[in-house]
Amino acid sequence: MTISQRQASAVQAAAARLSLVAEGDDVLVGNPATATFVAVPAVGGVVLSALADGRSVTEAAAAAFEHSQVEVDVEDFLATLEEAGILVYEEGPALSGEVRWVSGVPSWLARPLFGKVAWFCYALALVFVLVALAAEPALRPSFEDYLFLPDPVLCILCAYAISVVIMIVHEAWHWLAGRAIDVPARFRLSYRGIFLAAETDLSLLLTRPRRQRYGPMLAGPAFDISLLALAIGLRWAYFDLGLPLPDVLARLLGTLILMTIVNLVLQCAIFLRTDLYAVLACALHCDNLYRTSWLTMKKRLLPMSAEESAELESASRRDRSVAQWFSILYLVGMFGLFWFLLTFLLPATVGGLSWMIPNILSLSTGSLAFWESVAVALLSAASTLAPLPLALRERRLRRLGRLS
Amino acid sequence: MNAVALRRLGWWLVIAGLMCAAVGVAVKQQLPRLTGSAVGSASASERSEPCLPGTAVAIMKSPHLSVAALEKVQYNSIPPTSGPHFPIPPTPGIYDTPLQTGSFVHAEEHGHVIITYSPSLPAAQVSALKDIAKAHRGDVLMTPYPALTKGIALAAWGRLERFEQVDRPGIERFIVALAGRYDHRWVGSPRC
Repeated sequence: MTISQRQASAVQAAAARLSLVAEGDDVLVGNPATATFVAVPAVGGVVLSALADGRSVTEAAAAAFEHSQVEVDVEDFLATLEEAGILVYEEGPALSGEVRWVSGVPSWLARPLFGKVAWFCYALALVFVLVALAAEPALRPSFEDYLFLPDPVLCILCAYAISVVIMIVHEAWHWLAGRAIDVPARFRLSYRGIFLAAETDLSLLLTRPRRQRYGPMLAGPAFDISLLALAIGLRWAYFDLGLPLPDVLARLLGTLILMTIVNLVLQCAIFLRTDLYAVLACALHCDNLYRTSWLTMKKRLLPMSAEESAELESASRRDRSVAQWFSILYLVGMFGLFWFLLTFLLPATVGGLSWMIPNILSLSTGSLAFWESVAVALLSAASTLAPLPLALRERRLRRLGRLS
Repeated sequence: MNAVALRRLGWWLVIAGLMCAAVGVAVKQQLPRLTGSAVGSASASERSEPCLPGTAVAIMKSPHLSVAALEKVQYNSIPPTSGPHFPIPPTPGIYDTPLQTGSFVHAEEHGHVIITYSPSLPAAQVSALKDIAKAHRGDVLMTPYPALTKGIALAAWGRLERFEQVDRPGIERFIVALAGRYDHRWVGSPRC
């Protein structure tokens, strides 16, 4: 069906469902239902705004001419947007890949956590953490802080459960910060290099001006820093002010300090699509820097398929330009990860295996240590192997065009 | 060979170089840690320093063992100051329930001092010990030790001292002199 055959109201309603955000000389047009976005020249934004305001196709073309002194073939422009899955008419086929966004919390409830006062408190927490760690070496974490219970195997299980809780609240903080500006999100399991990771998809931040996107991106680390400040403060009060905490809680605080500092250090690994990567990509005005960098590096090393070449060609000029150096950072980061694997993960795994395997082989099934060892072995195997099927799933979704 | 192929070859050479560097650094620096994770300190030399607090205890072979294997081990002192242990070290701090021997011997191997006390030690004495442990956080693990019938025993790698009751200067002298003296190997030069 051509535009001229459609009801004017259907075209206007479809245009009204789109998000329009000025991005330099372009306008980022998005369909929030499918989280698909495309940059069009500013005059395209004028056309869509006019339609969304209830004006006809002819009136929209006139508005475009008034804006840029160029004739715009509005019908052709709208057909292109429809073909790209951006412009969707209600009477059309059901959307493929329609995303179920999680709103849940009204924005007025989330806003106090991410207002100016709240961000001042997060900054204060960061300053406190830096000063405390610099002034008191005993508060700095050691890898030994991981094992806070007398029973080491039970401790591994508890520490894993605590890390999952921290990860969930970290992601929820991203989501709440999105809700504070009325942006919904969705959650999924993914991977970062060799690590399993939870992920909050805040793609709809693209429907907001760039300066509003930083808060939700930095909300997770802001939670980590607040937790770290609380743990350091309580541990300091326990040691130096005689705060009567149970001793096991004091040791657990050491574990929390270690875990949150590791989380924050990992955030600096921008080649792993961390929160700081999202901030960097936003500040550099990139749309999909990670994927473009990956394709850029692949092009340097191997012949690419026709689809991959087309995908790289269709990336924005800015993405392709930044990917020239970011892809090198990505490559070096991957070798850093490889070194980390050899240096820390492998010895820890060997240590863990030399503990668990003899326990499983020689203890009776009636002993607690046997079942604890089985649980840790299963947990280790799951967290080590899970990134592989997730990587394969994401590859399949990307080929289907349902993941960018 | 065309320009594209030459460029690709260049990138692959860069990757091969980075790969060799990562493996080289990891093997050179971390092979002892890797073997240490698997077997612990297979053997350790004695270092007699009579001027230090406490008395020297012969150092046992100290491999990593499982719970099951450790049940058959006979240590040469109460509490032990070296010997087979679990592969996972506990964090320094105050423990109200007994740490397993295999756990705290690993902490000794990392240079920590273990303050053990008899479960029959009066609560006021335990509280005074806690104050000392808090003052030396990071260096000390404090745990009740049922095998100790009375008093207090301080253990560091290859070194042991007993106290009938809390003697803060004596206990702190032991901690300051012996914490960090050994960490999978002797640290620094002999002090006597």
